Amino acid sequence: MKPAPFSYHRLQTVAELVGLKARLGDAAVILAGGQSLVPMLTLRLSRPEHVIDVNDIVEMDHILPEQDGLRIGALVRHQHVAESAVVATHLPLLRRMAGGIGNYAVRQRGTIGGSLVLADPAAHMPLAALLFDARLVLRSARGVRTAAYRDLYRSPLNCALDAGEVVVSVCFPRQPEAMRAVAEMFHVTAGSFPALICAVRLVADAQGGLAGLTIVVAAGAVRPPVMEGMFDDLRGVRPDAALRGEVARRVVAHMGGLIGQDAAGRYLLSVLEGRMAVCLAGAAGDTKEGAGA
Amino acid sequence: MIISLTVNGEVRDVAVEPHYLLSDVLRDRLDLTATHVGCEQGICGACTVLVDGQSARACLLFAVQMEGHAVTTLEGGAPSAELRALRAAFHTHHAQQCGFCTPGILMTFAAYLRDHPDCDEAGVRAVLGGNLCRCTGYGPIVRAIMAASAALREVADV
Amino acid sequence: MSEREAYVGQPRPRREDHRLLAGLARYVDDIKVAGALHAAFLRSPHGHARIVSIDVTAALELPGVVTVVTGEDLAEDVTDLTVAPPIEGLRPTSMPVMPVDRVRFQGDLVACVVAADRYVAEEAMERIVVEYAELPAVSDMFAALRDDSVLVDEALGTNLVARRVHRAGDPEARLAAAPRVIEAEFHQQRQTHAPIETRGCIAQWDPGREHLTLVIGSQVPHPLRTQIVRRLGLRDSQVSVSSPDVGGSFGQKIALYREELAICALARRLGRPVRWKEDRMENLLAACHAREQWCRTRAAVDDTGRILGLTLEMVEDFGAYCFYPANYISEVVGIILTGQYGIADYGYEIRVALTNKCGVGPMRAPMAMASWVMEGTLDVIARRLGLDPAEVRRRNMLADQALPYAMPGGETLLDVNCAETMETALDEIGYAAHRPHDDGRYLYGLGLCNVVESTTYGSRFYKNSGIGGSGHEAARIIVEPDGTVSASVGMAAAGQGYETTFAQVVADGVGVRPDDVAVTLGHSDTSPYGMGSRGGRGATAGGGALYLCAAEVRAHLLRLAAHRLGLNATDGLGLRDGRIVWVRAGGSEETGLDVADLARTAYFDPLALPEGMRPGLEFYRTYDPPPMTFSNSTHACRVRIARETGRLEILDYLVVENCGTVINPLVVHGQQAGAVAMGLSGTLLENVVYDQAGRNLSATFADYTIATVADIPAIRIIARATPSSRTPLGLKGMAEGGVMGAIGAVANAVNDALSVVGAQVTCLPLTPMRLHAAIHDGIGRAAQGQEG
Ligand SMILES: Cc1cc2nc3c(=O)[nH]c(=O)nc-3n(C[C@H](O)[C@H](O)[C@H](O)COP(=O)(O)OP(=O)(O)OC[C@H]3O[C@@H](n4cnc5c(N)ncnc54)[C@H](O)[C@@H]3O)c2cc1C
Ligand code: FES
Ligand code: FES
Repeated sequence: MKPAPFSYHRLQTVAELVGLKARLGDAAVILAGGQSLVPMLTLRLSRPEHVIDVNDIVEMDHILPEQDGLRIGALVRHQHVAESAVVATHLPLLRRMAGGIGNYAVRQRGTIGGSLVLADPAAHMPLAALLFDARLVLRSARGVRTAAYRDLYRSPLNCALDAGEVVVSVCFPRQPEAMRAVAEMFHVTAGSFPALICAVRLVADAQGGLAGLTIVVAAGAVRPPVMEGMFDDLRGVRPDAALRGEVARRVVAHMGGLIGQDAAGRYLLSVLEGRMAVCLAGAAGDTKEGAGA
Repeated sequence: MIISLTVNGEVRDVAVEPHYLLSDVLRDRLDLTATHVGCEQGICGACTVLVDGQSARACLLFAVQMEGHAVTTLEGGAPSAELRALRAAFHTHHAQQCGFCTPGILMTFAAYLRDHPDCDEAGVRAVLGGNLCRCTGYGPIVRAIMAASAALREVADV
Repeated sequence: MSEREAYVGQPRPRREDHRLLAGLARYVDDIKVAGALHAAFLRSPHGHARIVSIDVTAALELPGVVTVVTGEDLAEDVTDLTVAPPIEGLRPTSMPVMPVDRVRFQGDLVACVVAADRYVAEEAMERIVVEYAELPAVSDMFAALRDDSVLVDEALGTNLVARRVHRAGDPEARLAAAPRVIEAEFHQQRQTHAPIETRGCIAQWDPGREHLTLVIGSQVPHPLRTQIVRRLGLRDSQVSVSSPDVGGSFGQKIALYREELAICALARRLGRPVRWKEDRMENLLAACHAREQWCRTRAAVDDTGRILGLTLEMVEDFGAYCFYPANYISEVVGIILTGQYGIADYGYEIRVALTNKCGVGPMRAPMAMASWVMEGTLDVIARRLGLDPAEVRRRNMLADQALPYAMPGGETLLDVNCAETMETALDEIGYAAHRPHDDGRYLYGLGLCNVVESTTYGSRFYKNSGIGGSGHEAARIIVEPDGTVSASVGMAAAGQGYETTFAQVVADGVGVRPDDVAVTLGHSDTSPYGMGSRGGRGATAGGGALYLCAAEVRAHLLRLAAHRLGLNATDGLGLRDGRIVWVRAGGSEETGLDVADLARTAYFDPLALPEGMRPGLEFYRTYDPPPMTFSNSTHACRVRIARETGRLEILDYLVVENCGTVINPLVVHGQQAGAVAMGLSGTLLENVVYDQAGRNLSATFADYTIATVADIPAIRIIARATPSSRTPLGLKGMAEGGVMGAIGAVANAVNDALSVVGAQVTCLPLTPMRLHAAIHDGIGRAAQGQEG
């Protein structure tokens, strides 16, 4: 288990980065925290000719509250997100998710950009980005564009950047006052990826009825689905126990169609059912049952 | 290529190839063998060192990346107060048997105790979850870390 | 012998710790050898295949590559390993150092590259072109035993590599006549040792002296040397084996593996040092696996739960190659199964199968399954008859007066206090108040496991069981000219703290301070030839040999002292902390002489020695311990299982333990807790998984999960020790029982909890998914405890 040889480039600015990326094309990969890329290189699952180290690019390492939301540089480490007071005020759930990643040493190096580009189906950050409909700021020699992560994340381990594109930052849209977001993670063993994450984002209307409901579930080796439109008919209804039961049923049925009904699938669905109840109760503000955001 | 990195406070020039892992360069080129390699996948934690004072897996870093950064290994020059307290407590509490996991645990907590002087057992356990030990069953390690933390607080109070 | 044990029994922190904590320890891979080349092994990606051709040309062209060898090349230098002890029912097997034309499991050896460093070696491996003709594989032991199965070893003509049958009394007649026959099944999954330090070695050949030096993390330096010598056609005096600090072993670092032998052969062939460090994937794929065993018991019982006769049927999966006699591991399960229970009519039948999987070997408590099977059987009996499980145990347990007891498996049980450990455990765990129950969220259960831990394994055991080999150990003690003491035995440590505990034993035996005793281990040149560390024999065999040797040292020193003091006899003289004293009622009085004075005389003033006493102070003594010593314990735990997720939580875990005289409570506690943790890890998490084609799906730590701190509960250890009546100092072994008890206690607690919903589990590991299925799908319901 040793990586194959490659040439190494260490850059200081995004401009240099997009220039080099344009020149080297697919022969080059970007090295951020390396917490996923290095094991892949060591196992020789990936054999790039060039490795571009972006760890010095300070312009990608910032957390900025902005008019329309929260901007997080691609190079921001998980531990930074987990300890950030700014994130805590704007998106407490994101902070909690970051703190749940892997282990302390992995969080010290792993980055949000790397996580999103890797698009591991069991990972925390991609799930959060899907839930909050985050947009990635992408740069290439052709210029800057932003794209919804929901559109980029096509399938497991496939975040469809265009040729020569790099992620500069990610923007989590500003959330309405009446939004609550809750997630539940289920680990079979500590220290590694959870077997299941479910996350709920609930926006209430002035009467306390549902104004918006988004649910994302990471389970099995599928791209976590964003479940939203399937709750349109429930708008305005109060999220009481009966409604939550209905929502959970729909979620479980939808996931069942995706991850299959073999023993492992059945098991995950059953766990999901229970976790959904907790999540939904929390999102509905029923603190008796839920953990709350 | 020759790179120059600061290891345990000393600037060292070392010939490496870009694909050499930091763990291998520390051990094989710089003779710093306290950093152990147990999995090369970031899972076991035996290779944990400090990079600019923060814990990191040496098996998930390339040595070339360390140019301009400070790496600290268990051998590291003058030990910090945290490391001294940890060593004493690990000895008293019999927190190592074969000792292979020990350097990674000591480095992880040298940084953690420094940054979290008021840590509680739950916090310590959560962090220790990133290090595998096949010998002790972890109980003595947790007790030793808590004892080290208490000892450091006592010193700080005086 | 000595007036009192001053240091044995003290919880002394270990002297090994300093180097481990300072980062100054030396494990194999830390040792620099100038000019050493690095080896890497190309391994089979297939579970079973014929090697059609191997083309190494491109690999050899890579700069930095020194050589690439295949099985065919090495066959010239190394003889095959033949395992053929004269054991009825065991088929002899043979294997070359590297396969020549057929690979038998994924990870099997195909070629070895030797290069300037590991990075180059791995590059070169990618350039080796191997053409395989894939063969059907058999990865299930039951399938392997069917007549139409693919053959793993064609030379054998069958996959049934061993079948052993043992009978005491007439268990079949008991079963036929009994009011009830209760059957129970147990299936333990394949596991692997996974020491955090993988295997590795450095071999150096000195062409001038024609001498091979091997540095290797090993539990058994001398037996390893014997193997090397045989396979390479050398003489004992031509090989030195040394084991430096070892980063865990648990039974994995006993056998001489093919990789290590290949490295030795290559060092000799090239005349240059060659080193190899196994990576984690190799370790999980191809080092050594363990524990894949299935058992079925049939118990003839009366209505009170008394067992009238018992049979055990056992099948073990031994993988593709035999590094040990294939009956060796399961046989011990058969021998000790009945433990502390009085069962005269007993029989076992063991079948061992070859499969296209990694070969297996002993893993910390190789006989671990025995306790689960016996105690699980008792629980099934209790449940079927509606009796209290503790009461069923009491009814079957031997009374203390019945000891020594000739066990139906053939060994003699003695020095155990099973009733005492069990009753203490019942009190401590709150047994009386417990009922399995379900509060809607959790199912609650309590599990008990009485353990009789066979330890030590003297020569008589090997002879009796037909396994062959010696169980003795050898000690050498030197009182150096400055009066300090150097002691050694043939064992090698892998974290057990021998340097500390053996110093305590020698200190008491001689009458000096532990700080004046240096313990050096693990080198075949400087340690006496011993059988090494395995089977929980460290304390008894190693400590015993040292203590007996130390007593000779003491007697010799006292004779010399008497002479120096002008006395005819040693009466009234004693040795305390290195000083010669007059022993008086209520104290002692200095004579003014100390060990350093005597050593000076012995080395530098031989004419001052008494008549007939030779100069120098070197002592050698061997010791063959009893066939077995028995430690015993009761493990008890309370668990709860979440209905929703199937997740198991251990609410309380305790061990009441009798492990004989404790040399150092700190170290012994550490070993016991570590053993329990390993047992829990195996029971709850670990699983080596192969698919039908023989592909290993658990070759990284992400897939082969071992316990983290979050998985191990607090472990309470309560001592109820009684010394062994037959060993020096009353020592017994103790580092394995924890594994045995953990499996049984947790599995029994889980089944106690599951009984509330009428379900049972018979297969390990007890993953949340398995428990969830048991609760909700009724899987495993009524599978256990059928009357047959
Ligand atoms: C033991 C262990 C446990 C873990 N447990 C978890 C867990 O529980 N949950 C979890 O979510 N993750 C977990 N991880 C993964 C961890 O979070 C990684 O950090 C993360 O997946 C990748 O981030 P990185 O910065 O390390 O990226 P890298 O490994 O450096 O890169 C990952 C991929 O992203 C690309 N990339 C990186 N940055 C950019 C950029 N700016 N633009 C374009 N492409 C880019 C790289 O080229 C590469 O393809 C674990 C990792 C380990 C080793
Ligand atoms: S060797 Fe780096 S984490 Fe295991
Ligand atoms: S002490 Fe051996 S692995 Fe931790």
